[in-house]
Amino acid sequence: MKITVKTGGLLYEYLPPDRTANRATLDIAEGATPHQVMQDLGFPADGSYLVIVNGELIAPEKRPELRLADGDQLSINPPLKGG
Amino acid sequence: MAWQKQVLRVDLTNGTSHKEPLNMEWAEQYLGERGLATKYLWEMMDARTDPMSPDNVLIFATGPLTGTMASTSGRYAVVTKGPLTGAIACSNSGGKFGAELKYAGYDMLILEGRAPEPSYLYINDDDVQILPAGDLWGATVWHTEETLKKMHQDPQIKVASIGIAGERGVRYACVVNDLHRAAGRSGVGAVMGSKNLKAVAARGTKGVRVADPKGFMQVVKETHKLLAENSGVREMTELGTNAMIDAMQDFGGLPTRNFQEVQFEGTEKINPAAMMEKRPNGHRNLLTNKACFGCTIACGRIAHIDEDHFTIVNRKEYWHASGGLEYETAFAFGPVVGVDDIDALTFAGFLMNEHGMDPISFGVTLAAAMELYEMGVITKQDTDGIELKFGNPEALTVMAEKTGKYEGFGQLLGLGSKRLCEKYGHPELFMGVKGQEFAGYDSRALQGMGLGYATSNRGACHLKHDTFAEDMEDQTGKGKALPCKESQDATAALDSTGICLFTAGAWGSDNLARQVDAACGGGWTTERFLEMGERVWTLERLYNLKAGFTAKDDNLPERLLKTPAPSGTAKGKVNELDKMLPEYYTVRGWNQEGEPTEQTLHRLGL
Amino acid sequence: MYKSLVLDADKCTSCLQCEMACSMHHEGMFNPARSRIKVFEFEHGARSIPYTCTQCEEAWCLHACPTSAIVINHTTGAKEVIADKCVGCKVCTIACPYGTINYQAASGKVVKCDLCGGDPQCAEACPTGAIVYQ
Repeated sequence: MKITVKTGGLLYEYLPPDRTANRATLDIAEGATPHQVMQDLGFPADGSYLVIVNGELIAPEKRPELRLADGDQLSINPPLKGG
Repeated sequence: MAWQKQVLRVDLTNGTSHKEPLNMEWAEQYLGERGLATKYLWEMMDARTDPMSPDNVLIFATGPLTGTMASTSGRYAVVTKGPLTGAIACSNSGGKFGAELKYAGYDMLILEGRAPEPSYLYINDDDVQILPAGDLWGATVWHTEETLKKMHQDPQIKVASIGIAGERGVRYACVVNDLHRAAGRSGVGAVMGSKNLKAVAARGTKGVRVADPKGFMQVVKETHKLLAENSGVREMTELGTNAMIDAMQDFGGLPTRNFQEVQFEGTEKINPAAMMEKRPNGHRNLLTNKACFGCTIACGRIAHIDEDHFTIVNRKEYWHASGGLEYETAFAFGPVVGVDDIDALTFAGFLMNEHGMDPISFGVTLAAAMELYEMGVITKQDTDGIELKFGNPEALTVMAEKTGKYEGFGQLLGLGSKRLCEKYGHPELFMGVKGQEFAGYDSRALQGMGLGYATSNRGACHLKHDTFAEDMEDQTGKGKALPCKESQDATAALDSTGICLFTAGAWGSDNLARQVDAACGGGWTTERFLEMGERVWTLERLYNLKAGFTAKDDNLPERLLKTPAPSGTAKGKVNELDKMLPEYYTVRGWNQEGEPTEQTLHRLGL
Repeated sequence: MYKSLVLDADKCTSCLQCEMACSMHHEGMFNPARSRIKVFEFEHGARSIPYTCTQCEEAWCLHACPTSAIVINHTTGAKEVIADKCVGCKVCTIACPYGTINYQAASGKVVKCDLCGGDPQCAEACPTGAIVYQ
């Protein structure tokens, strides 16, 4: 199944080479979780991220639980502060 | 050591100045910069004083780490009673002025009274002169800096000055140094203007010594490394603080059209990618990044405007580089006023620096005026013929200039949002706390941010606490009070060192305390450092209570408490301040009237 | 071939870590006014340019000195000022075409970059690679 991933800041560096700017379409296994997708893309495990699926905030403890569905939109932003 | 142990006091009324020893007993309790200046302010003036009267005291304060090799060590704070809020004002700035003032031999500059004529202060090490401002009164910040360097034949002079906005009492005028760095918030520039003081020009050659040079250099090496290896810091170096705008857009925490909405359709036209994009005509908004004094992060952006853009097409004087968009300027000239023209945003930023105004307060005030205009409460007759609609880039840039020059409708915008909305009978449209406008975070999406806004001692502010991590994990009021309190104390401690808040992603209080300890001669444990921060926070609170503020002022506008967020991750949610605030008072050791208990005061030695 | 300080203005952010490191090494305090390396800013900060002694092969400062207070360090190639010999006459500051040897009022002597004896602290401190010793 396919999902779209959108990243903020410099996190596009973790997207596959066929990305368009900060967006990419990924072919993922049935029932994969945001945690798995991020792990497969190589996001450092110790980082804290802002993770949103279809406009809904996904708290860290939900990331290994939530099963993504075909067509889902996953947005990942880096831990930013202030400004 | 680390401190210069000397204060420069200037009596502007009588045209005299003298040097006095720094009160080291206070320095051991309040460290420097924000904390120590607060203590001096508390001791020197009645908190009920009219902020624009000569009796208000204006303090420029460096910290013990200012001017050292600790990264980001260029900070100084301007502390006074704020004319926007009537609360204590504490605005800090980077650039190079703060370090220069310290190199001249002073931890602090205390300005009292009002000069009989427009003046500026010239400090060259021990040589201190109050000189007539002459033609500089009425000049821009940029012109003032250039002229003072030429007049004194020293390009190394660093200048902190005000523009016309500060001279004329725009309630959110700032003190600008080094062309585009500002002690930005709460109207500290208006206080400087009320004192008839145009500028402080400083040149220092005395240097700063630390107690344990070897130990200090070792800690500096380690802490530099922590910054260099931190991914959040790298975002700031590569993209600037505006990296935040994409996250806030996705999150639905990006205040749009005076906080009526929380997501802005034009974000991708004003984000870092847009700043870096090479356009068909070859123009690129962003030129380079730039550091403040001692800073190994370099989040500052240097940008320029397309010469064919309507704002500057016939104005060659703006065909040059200057400070570019940061997150808060992008928010204040973008989403909150509905404008997505990146050149107009950049130009508005130039104007803020040139005329010395806080972009956040200006943008949010303009947003309220735009809402009043769209409601029909004000019309073209009020706005000098300008169509003051959300999204109109011309409205943004023309009004920025009018406010900066204190002309026409700009004079009313210069009142700030609270006074403007009250004047037109719609106080509910003011988006801020204690008279100060919100920064670019909507507290329906970021709950802890709402608590931080409501309780910030200088009025709504995003820089006095840090609950970003908690807010991005949970969107209820639960569990926000303690991190809000603890981060307020940690930030107050950090702001008392001479270091920039943007190190906080990589350095905990322990790393700051280690640097302070090596610089100041020992005894600064993390515990003592944090207790100092709590003492500073609590003293600021006492100042505000004495100035007449009560728990009722720890509040948010109805719009954030009653009108649910229309979209984004917090769709349907309002801010849960009523749940967080009582808990906050409790964790602070305050009663439910928001007053520190005797026990708390005693514990902090207050 | 001696190593030299390679300065890359495009990488300089004008943070002045180099000036502080230099003054700490030579003066025991953080004091850019006494740094042997200097960063100049132009165009509202759009250009920042670090600048110090190039250690000229044909060192005019050395030849101009009437007291032979400037000597070559044959390990590093640096032209160094022997403070005990310098009488503060400033002739070298006039001879230098680059303005990188300067009179210091505090000591009554001239000062210049000595490459810190082969471990230049400015290069060590530079966070962006704008100053590299190679």
